[in-house]
Amino acid sequence: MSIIFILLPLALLLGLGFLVAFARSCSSGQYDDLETPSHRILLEDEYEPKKFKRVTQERKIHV
Amino acid sequence: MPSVRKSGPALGAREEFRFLDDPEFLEQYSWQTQEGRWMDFYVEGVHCAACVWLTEKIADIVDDVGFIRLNLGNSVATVRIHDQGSFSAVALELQKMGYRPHPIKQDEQRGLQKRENRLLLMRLGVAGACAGNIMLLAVSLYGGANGGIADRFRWISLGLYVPVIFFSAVPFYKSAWISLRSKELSIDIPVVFGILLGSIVSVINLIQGDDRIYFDSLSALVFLLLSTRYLLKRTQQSALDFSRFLHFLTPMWVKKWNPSGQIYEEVRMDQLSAGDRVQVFPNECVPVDGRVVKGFSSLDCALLSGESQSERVAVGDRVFAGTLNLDAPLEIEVTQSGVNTRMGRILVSMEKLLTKKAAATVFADRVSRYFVSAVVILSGALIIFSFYNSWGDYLNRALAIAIVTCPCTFALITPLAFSLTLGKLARGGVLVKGPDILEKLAGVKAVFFDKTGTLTFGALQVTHWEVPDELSAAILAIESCSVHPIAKAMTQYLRNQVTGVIPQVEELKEKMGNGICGRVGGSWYELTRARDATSLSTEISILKDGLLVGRAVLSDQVRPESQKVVQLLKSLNLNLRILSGDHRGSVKQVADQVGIEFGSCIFEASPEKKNEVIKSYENTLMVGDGANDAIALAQADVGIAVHSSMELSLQAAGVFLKTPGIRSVYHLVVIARETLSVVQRNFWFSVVYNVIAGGFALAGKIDPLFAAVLMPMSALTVLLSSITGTSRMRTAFKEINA
Repeated sequence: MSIIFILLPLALLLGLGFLVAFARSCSSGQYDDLETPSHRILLEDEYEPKKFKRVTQERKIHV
Repeated sequence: MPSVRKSGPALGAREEFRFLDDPEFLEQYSWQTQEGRWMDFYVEGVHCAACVWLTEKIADIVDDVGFIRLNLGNSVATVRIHDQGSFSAVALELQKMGYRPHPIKQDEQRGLQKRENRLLLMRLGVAGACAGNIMLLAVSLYGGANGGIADRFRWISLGLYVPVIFFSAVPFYKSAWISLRSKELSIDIPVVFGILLGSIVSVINLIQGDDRIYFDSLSALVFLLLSTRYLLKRTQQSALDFSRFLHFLTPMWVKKWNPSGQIYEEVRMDQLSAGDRVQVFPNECVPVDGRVVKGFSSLDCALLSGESQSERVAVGDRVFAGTLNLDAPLEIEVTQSGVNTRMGRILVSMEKLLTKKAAATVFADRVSRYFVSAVVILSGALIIFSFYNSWGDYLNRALAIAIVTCPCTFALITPLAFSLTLGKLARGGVLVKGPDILEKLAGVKAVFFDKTGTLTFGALQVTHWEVPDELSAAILAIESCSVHPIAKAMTQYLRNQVTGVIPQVEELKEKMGNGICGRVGGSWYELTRARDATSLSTEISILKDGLLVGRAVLSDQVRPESQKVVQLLKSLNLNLRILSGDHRGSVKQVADQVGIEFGSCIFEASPEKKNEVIKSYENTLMVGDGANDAIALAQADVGIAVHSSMELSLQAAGVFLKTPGIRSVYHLVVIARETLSVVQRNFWFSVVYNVIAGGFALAGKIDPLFAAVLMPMSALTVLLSSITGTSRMRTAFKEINA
């Protein structure tokens, strides 16, 4: 049973990792709009590196 | 005279959005970053992926636009332009696509709301993660873990419980504190009482080596309550706060006569004073209250009076701000401008009414508070009792009562049922501002309908056409040159009739307020208004080279679904009335057609009169659209603004229908009533549950495992009951979405 003393902290650490990931995505505004992304996936991608950059910049402002 | 042409539709549209470039306006509505200037628009009519694609394409169409992103959930588009760009170009493009944009005011509240939402979600996430892990540990504890492992598990549970109580549960402390300070009873007080008592006793037990710890139940409770609150908040916010819209009944720029320079100058509205003269072109809004000094035209007063027929004005007649000039240029001497106009006063009194209206709480909530407080007092008494007896045992019984009975089900009942209903309604195009409005809707007894635009289409349509087919093309050619409502209606009708090439108009003349003439293919056509019937219709005579060749009748038709909805509403034992500003004849005709008894209808009612009428009844529901209904919508217990309403009535109303017509009104009332009965059902379930569980707890028969099973079970029952609703409710939702 002593394996539990390694596994339990590991499991908790893993959980913490996901919690941190959630916190980051939450504060970056990913959950502000839950509807549009599901529609936007239907749109054709336009590969434009410049445009992509703009979007990430926008996210910073909204934080 | 500055280069202001007689405004055609295209130019008119551009003028319409020019206010977006005004520096003072930008100050309030936009914000600046290094990349450019930003503005949020509420975009009317977006609903699908294609709408997203189309609106976001504007970034490619308009050069100045650096970024545009649409949020379908609340129909808000965020736009960024370069420093030299203009928002009016963006708005115009959106308008051309068929989505009407409304700028949204940027204030602190808006940013605050966003931050609050994110923080609440974060609290929810933390509570969920911790509760889940605590439960994993609890399962092995209940399963029989003992000795050193059990001890460590309990301490780890405490560690996981710390963020729940110090971070996630903070909103409960806050609102409990607020209600304590204002000496009011809220459901949060017993919730906080239960959480705090549970935490303290559990920690004491943990230190003393007692195995009665409740970290699992308590963290699950916090998680559950937070999630319903988050859900309710989100659905409520999707109904959008219309109060952040500005209304633009009157143009911000007016053409003022400058006597010294003998020209018309463009000035801002607030620079006008009494005695100034302004010029108003056809298809423009009259910006001020005043008197006509030059010109002869007709005005569309539907906004102010609700009359479906236009009103003719000549020199000396009084005109009011918010009416639309139809035929010919007018020169108006200003008597009142800004908030002193009749329109302005209506707006001010409407705002007063709205600020007076406090959000009410739902009945079940009010009762729950007392019930739950009784439980708190009971467990408090047990604690005091425990001082004099064996301390630990009674304290634990008190704790069991606090945890097992109080907060969970009662705190869940209303937010759960209401958030589900509000969310489903929003998906069906019915936006309800808050839960209290649903409760008021369920208790409605008297229903008032506006006529023009609500029961009827609110626009003229060709209902009778008696013209030789070969002339249709020529008539279409002439009528499409005019922006008069009659011409627009005929153009729309003829577009579907005429195939082939539309001939060139060689000569055109609008007869002031009386029709239009033109030369097509060498023949001289005259279209004149024959007579204004007292009822809804207008008759047009068509002359070719002076000979009568045909006639057309145009009228504002009753919407096809109005009659059915009226009948359905009658079956709910509601008292139906028409409350209209229009003449007796038109009101009677519509009342007869939809099946409302004319005797109880009120006609020729000014906006102020409408308010008085509504005031004299109890449990009122007003359904309307124009600015003339705004005060009545605010005065009524529930106001429903129908589609294509003025922003003004959107502000005043508690409910907004995204689809035109009153189709959803009946279903909405049914759903409101059924939601209340679901709440009641859940309420009685909770009472029974609490009495039984409380009894067990009092007898000392409840241990942590029992609590951990019982509590989620009760919550689950409430949840399932809310989701299933009632069969009438399900049918009504189906109808709304159909």
